Amino acid sequence: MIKVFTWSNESVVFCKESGDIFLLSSFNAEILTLINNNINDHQILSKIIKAFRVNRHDAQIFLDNLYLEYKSLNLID
Amino acid sequence: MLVSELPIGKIVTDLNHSGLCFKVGPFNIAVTSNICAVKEHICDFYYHYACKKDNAFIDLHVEVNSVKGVRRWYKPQVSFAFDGYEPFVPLPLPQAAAMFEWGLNWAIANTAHQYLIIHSAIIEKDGYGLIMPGTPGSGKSTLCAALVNRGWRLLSDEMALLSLADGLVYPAPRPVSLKNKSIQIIKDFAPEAVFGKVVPDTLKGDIAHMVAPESALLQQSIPVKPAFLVFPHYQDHAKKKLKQLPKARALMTLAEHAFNFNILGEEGIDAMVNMIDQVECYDFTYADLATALEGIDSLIK
Repeated sequence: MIKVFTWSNESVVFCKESGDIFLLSSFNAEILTLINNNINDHQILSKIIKAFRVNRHDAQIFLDNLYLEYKSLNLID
Repeated sequence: MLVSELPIGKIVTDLNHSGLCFKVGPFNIAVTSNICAVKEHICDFYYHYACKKDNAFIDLHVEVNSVKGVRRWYKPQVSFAFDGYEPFVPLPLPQAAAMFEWGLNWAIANTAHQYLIIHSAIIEKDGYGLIMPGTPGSGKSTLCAALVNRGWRLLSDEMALLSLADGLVYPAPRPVSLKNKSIQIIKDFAPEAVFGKVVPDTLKGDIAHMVAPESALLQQSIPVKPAFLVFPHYQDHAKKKLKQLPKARALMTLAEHAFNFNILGEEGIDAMVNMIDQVECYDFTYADLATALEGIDSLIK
């Protein structure tokens, strides 16, 4: 559904369905890839906690917001 | 055989009837026109182009003809047709030659999908291909015209043809289109350059075409490997600034300049990514040609 191209700390995400492209931070693009690969939330949350040094609650809020945003952009089902 | 080697009578007959056929880069083009200004334009600007080889396929058949009807007596107009289809509304007769050039751009951009077509000037020196996409007013064509009068080879001032097959950019050198103040700037900068008549008051302002240098025509079958992607920005009184552009951002901007990205989809993004991987990307702000040329030349030193 998507293709991700990463250079240092920025990525371009190409949506195969719409043909749209988006500029994301490499970290957010990595999370998007994990979601699209059906990696479970537990593993994704661990990644967020480690990257931002936040507690589980804050990590969950961050992930929920990403889900909403990616859905609105049709980047995830 | 070159167009210039054809008897003038045959050039005129072909333009009037079956179409005058010549080769521009990878394309065989047939032009039909009943308008004197277009015939003069072809003779002035395409005289040294190679004729199409016998039995070679014609890729683009374009016609620029006067519009029939009563109107032709008091406000004559011209229409452009590509394979019989008229994509534009007619324009006033004095803009016939400009309409031919714009129409040919349109025809290439809408059919040559074996290439990713980038709205860009493309030039080459010492084997380094320099792609300069630019919005109107960015100075893309002015900079391109100046550089090709200082030793760079012109591939195109209007579109880069990035091959999906091999990642090289193929030349399609044609007259360089200059607008408004740029016309006099380049005439002053390169008095040896040959220009056609100025066509006033077009949709883009005053337009004049500069003849493509002979070096560009002699090498029009030789593609180049892109080495630099430079987004020019002309700004009055600005200090020259050549700033490296992060590749992800360069890709986003490049996509805005790709005419047929929406048609090519995944193939198009793959072609752009492959290119971005192998080029250095810059934003280039400049205020005058002398410092602009210094900046561009510094890339290959």
